[in-house]
Amino acid sequence: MEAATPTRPPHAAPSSSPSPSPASLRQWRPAAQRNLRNQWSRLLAAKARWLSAAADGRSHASALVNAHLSRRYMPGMDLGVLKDMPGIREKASGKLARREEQCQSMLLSAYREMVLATAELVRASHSMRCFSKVAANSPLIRFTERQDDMNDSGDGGGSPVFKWFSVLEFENLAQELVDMFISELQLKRLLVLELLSVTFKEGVQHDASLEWSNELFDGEFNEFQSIGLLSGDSYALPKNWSAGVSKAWQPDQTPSHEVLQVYLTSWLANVNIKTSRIDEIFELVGEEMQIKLS
Amino acid sequence: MESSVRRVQQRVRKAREEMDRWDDLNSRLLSQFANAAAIVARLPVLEEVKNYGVLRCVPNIRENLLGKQMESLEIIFVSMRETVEEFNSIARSLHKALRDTNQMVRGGSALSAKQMQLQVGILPTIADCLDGLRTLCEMHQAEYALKSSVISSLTWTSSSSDIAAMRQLLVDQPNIPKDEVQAIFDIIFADEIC
Repeated sequence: MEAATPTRPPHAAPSSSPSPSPASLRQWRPAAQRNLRNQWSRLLAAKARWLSAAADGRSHASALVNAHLSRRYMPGMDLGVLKDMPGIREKASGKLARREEQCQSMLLSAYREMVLATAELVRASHSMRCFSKVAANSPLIRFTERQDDMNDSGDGGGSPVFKWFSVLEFENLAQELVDMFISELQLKRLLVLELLSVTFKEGVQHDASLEWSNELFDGEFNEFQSIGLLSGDSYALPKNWSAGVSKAWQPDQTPSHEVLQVYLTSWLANVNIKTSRIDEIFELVGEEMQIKLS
Repeated sequence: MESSVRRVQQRVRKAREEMDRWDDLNSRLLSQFANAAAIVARLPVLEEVKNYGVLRCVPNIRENLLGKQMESLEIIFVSMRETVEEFNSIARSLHKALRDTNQMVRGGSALSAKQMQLQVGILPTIADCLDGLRTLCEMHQAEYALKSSVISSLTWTSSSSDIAAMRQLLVDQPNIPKDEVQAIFDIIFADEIC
């Protein structure tokens, strides 16, 4: 059922239909309430999934950077009594390189998990409406998440679903959440890209070099497509990012210790995620629906 | 006479349970301090645009990141102040133990100076117990004041050497010498260690 849910581009949401009859509204409301409760629980679960993947990603990223820096400084490192052991530096470097590879793949799977969680967030945010199902020859009205009748916008004519909020208001709050997670996902993607490239550059895999338009894991672009992040067949930089700097992706310059520190800090900080606002939104919605969302 | 000493010992034992929380609190404070210090140490790096590498293509990243870090720092400061408040509550409950004990021996059928000094077998004298408890009170009160002033002098502009010195003070707890505390308890609970 969820997989079949079509995603609507965020700005093309149909406007409220003319007010439905009180009788049909009475039948619509319980179904709409049930649906909204489900979708908001989905949002809550997806948010938790996203944040936990981000936390995993952070520890893999910092292990990656540590291994990478140790390897980089290996030639000059003071090894004390070990320095006379034959091939000690080479062996240690080899181990560190393998460790980097492991961290990279773990970082990548944490990122993948974040993409999947984001897709889940988007799908839930686009499934807030509740449409009546057109059934010929049946006196019963059934409801569905799919729009059968183009005249039915699924929002009960904009009337409150519980006490105050209309479907559109629920959608706007969900959109506000989704926007935060999407912009943070883009930032994390840039960091993943950069962290993978750093170690690629220094010898693990000389030939590979990553760009923004590369797919980072199988199916990444499918997910992006399904949530409307990908238009056409190439994945472009977010609109407000300045392409100039990203073009200056210097292929032979390795980022300094400080730059890596800034990368890790920005991963940790979740700059686009306003935690207090998120809590506020879930609290607001939970109150409106009379359920606990936290 | 012996029962008076027992009662005083009982009161000190309760005070000691309070003091046992002190070390846990100090580890909590140290880890909060370490988190704050890590952020403070990062700030100069985060202020330099040149350290942003490829992130420079993301609009306002520097301002946003610095803002978030300051926010986290503020949150840590608040929780450190809460921890320090808990030290204060331990110091206060030691004071209360001292007051209670004083009342116990001076109120009602007040003990004479001689009784205060009276030693029954291996039991401590009541004067010993009161002195010990008073010293413990003073130590913890002074240490609370020190922690409070260390924490309030930590700011986002503190230098790394200042931070190291502050951390050392928090670790050392110079007003609460461990051996002296032990010696006090050895006297008050002399009958138990044998």
